[in-house]
Amino acid sequence: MEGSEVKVRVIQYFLRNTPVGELKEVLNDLKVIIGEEILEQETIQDTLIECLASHGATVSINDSQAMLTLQGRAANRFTDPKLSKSFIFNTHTFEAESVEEIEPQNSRAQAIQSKLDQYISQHFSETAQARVFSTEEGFSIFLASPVLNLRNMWTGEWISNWKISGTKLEGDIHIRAHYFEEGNLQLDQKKEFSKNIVGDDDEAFSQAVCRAIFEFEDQVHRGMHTLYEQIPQTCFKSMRRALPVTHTKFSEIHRTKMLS
Amino acid sequence: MSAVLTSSLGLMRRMPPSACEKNLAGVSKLIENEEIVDQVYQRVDKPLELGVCESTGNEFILCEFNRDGDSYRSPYSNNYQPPLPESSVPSAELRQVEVKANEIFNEYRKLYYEGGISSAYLWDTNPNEFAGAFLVKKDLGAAGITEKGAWESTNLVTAKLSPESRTITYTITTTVFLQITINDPAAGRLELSGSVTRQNQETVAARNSLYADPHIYGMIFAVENMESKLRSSIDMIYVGKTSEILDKTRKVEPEIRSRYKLA
Repeated sequence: MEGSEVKVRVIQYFLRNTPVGELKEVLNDLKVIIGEEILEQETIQDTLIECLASHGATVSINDSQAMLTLQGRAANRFTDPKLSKSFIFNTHTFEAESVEEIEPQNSRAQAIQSKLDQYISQHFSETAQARVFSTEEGFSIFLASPVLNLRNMWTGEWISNWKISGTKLEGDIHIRAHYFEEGNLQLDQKKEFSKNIVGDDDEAFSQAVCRAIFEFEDQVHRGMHTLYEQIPQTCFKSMRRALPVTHTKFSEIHRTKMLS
Repeated sequence: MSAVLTSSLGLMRRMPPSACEKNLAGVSKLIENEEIVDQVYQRVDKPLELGVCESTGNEFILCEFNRDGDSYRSPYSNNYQPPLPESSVPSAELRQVEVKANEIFNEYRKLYYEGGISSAYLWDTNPNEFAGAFLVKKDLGAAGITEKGAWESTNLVTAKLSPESRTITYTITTTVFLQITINDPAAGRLELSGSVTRQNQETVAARNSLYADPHIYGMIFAVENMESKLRSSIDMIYVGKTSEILDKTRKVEPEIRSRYKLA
């Protein structure tokens, strides 16, 4: 038994390491292990919101899906620049409350958003979303494509984070997959990028940004396909042979021993 | 099984497999009941460590099955390291079988693994029944595209003699833990890690006493069967499943969802 400070840190660790779409299951397990009270603490509720935002969770506002992002978060109020709305996220009902209209984004951010939406509709899951934020340095972009199938025991996500300062675009891609039928198997992949962006007007600039993001993401995705083709022959083969060098199984060599 | 134990095991199945010890240390700080903490530690497959036998200098595997407190029993000397005054060791009869099991299992390992370390531990359970753990640990350094890799298999086998039907039943639970890290110029840093568990049971005719040689072979045949089954499904599971999920998050080829969508 440890003091409650240690417990809070442990719970935060578990929440932050929970695969996308599995927070409710983890919270239920934690509730059974340690009880509801500690989970209601402000620090834990705050971490829960942080985790949902880091996966780009969505919440319905009328007929639209508002996105929770770290970029759009101020305490428990979120800004969704695409919907021009801000709202409070209720960690118990997982619903949006006290929704307010906000000023629309500047024209360049809107141009990037619309190009990103096109890219997403062609290359990502139907649950994928991206948001563009105007920042002091320029822009910040968050893209999340979660895919969940808890019944068939798998979840996964493609996340990318980008910052534009002046003409410099930099960011990273983070892909995770969890398969948990008769086991626990996880893929974790990360890659960082940076590039200079050239574009005079909103149209040319937003085109160049989205083109660069597309090219980075395509490089990673195709690169992973190439790796996946090599892994069975290179990595797995040197771990354990499928058959002994002689092609004769141990049980065949020693079969007669069973009869002795 | 208590609800706390079920939830703790459920929680462990969602946490990063490569941080198993950290996950266990964490959950043990949340559980009030020390008995349940012990049960969680026993049921979760932890990374296998290696020790060196003080008498023979041979490496052996440290695991739950040769542990007593903070000491581990060497399969070579039968001594606990560090020494334990009142520790449980197999009966003299079973110890003879264990020595033989280690020799035969080592032979098996050499057929399938180039390198690696294997250990076998046996213990009595009930009359006409005993159990054994057959373990293999193999670490891969940087080779080809891999930065590092590890294979760990834990085969838990019970052998139960049924004197009436003159049969012996082997029940086997095999867990393979696999980890690879790749640093690729195009795709970045990729880590694939995790474990898969399978169970099987088979009954064969028993012509000998429980401790006779044929049963050691019988247990290792069961191990060979399960490890081979798991080995052949590893491509399908580790690569097939995770790449399928990857391709659901993003499509390499553009998809036109609506014909009438305006550009």
